[in-house]
Amino acid sequence: MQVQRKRSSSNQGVSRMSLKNEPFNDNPITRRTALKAGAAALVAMGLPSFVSAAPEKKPPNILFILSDDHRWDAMSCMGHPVIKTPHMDRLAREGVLFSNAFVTTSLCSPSRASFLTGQYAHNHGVKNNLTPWDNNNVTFLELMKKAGYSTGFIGKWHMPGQFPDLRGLDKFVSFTADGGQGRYFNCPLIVDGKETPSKKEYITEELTDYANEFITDHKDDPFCLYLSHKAAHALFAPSAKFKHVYDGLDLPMPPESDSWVGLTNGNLFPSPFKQLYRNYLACLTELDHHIGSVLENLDELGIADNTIVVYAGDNGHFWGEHHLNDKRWHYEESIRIPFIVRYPGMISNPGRRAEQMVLNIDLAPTLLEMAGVAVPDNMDGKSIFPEIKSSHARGRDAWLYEYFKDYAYNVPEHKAVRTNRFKYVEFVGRRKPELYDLAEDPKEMKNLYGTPSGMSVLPGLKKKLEHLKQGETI
Amino acid sequence: MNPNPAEDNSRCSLLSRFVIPCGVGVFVFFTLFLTYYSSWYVENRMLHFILTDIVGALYGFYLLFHALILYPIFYFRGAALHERISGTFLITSCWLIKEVIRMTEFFSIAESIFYLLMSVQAGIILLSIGLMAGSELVCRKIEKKKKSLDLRVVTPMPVFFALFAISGTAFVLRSGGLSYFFNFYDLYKMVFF
Repeated sequence: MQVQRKRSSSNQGVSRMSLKNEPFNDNPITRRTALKAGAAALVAMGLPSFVSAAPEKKPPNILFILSDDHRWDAMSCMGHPVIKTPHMDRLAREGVLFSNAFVTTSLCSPSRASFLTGQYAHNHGVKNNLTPWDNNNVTFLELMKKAGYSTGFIGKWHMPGQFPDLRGLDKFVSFTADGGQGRYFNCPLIVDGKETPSKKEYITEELTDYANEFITDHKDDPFCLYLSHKAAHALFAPSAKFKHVYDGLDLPMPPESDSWVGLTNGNLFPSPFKQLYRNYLACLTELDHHIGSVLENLDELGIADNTIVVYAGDNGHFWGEHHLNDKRWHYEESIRIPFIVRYPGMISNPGRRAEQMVLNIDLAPTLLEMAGVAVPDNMDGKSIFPEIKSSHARGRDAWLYEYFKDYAYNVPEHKAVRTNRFKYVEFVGRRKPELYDLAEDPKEMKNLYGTPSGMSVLPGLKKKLEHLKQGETI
Repeated sequence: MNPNPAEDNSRCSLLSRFVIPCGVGVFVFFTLFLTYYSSWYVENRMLHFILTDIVGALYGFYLLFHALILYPIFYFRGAALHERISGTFLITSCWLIKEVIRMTEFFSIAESIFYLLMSVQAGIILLSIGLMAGSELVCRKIEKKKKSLDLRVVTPMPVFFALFAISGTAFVLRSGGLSYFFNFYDLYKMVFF
């Protein structure tokens, strides 16, 4: 099947240009005009055949790398005082780093489904870690396959329900161990439907090897690879090689953090919290090391310039902020993600920080547009290709955050509207709403709901939230 | 378990052997719990960290190991077996009830009670049982030595409960607690979905 491309074929344009200048007129024929006409005739005859012999530009390869629980600021390019992530920094230096990237539901399964389908959780149906994936959902990988791409899904699937019947995949490597969370060490895999023992001890290295193999095998095709890592999810277990990289360094913890902050809002949870954070950073540095291996492979194969690389996290993570651990809540630490796009063939001003708000649901339509594939109407996200190309592109003004109750976590179901300046949250149940002025109070410590300053902006925010709940775009 | 030979109820009133130890145990639990929560709002950072770290550690320790303290107190004050068990389990019960109440904010009463089977709650219940059984054996040993009584220290019931608690805890903690965690979810889905 041919790749559907929106760009028009270039050789038609060249032919028209050369014909336009032919000197057919009534002027007397001189030696000079005869030579000109002869040359023009030769060009007119020869150029089209020359142009048609030139190779057509290959559609871009796509590599999407997804990490688990990687919060937006845990990269050295974001100014983190401890962690070292040279390869993520390289992506940012050679591409565009979106410093206002968010997930529409801060929980692994719903967020992953949103990346794949371009839809909100209330549309794709994976509302929490219990509601199953619907095999009727259409992923961007399926659409890429229909457009002629070689497609691969390598890594963490982790969605409720049976192991999926994903359409349009040439390679499917995943795992079901420990409820789909997988294991950091010696994780058994399912490779194209067949149970396969692990070849490498550490999961991040194993998945990277599969990814490099896929890329090498398909270097001559246009390929679209979804590489989804287990790192850096709890239980935050780096390999022996990286386990001690941050030993002895003083880790800055949030003021509200203490050794006993846990999942259960002050009740007992295994600590010490700081050591968990140290292991989390080590897992991320190890992940970064393996991302470097994939980038190196692209360089060696000579396909880096025509490969779109997107790096993102599936949700953020609290490390004691608001006295919380884990994610789920609407606070910034939970909903912000790293989101970097590198495409040397298209990005003219690499190293840029884009301030526009982008979402996980934007990934699918963006990749489809960049590959020249039609974007289905039922996708809730919008292509951020304009934002990738230009810092002047207008981003969205507001978006909907939604969290559905997920047994047995003590987080109420809630919906929020997040604008460039404000966040307004409504809970199901007995909690009172929350409203924050993010410009004045970026850490969301002062709930303005019920205060005079809060009341002045509340009607507008409520209206926006209602519009977004109805599926409207703002 | 054997009845406590130190049970001489004529020497110790119900108030002294049961009610007061219960009251003190619950008071300590709620004092630690409330102090820990209150320390979140202490603005002085140094004091905040001292309070949260020290009180948090004590709170966690007390919740996990209160049976090692309370059970011997009941024993040596002459409390009957059912008093020793119910008095010691009162602390665990306070915490479990608090957890169930907290869960009812988001889930049905049935789901909130089912939550007691989850890893942390189940682990704490098993630990309490194991420590009570262990404490019973140690108290008997001390009692026997101190009073030169003709007392069988090791009897089937405390040994059975100690082994039950150890094997149960091992079951909950296998593969870092993840297997039990997913078993719990499978059961939840069977019951409530």
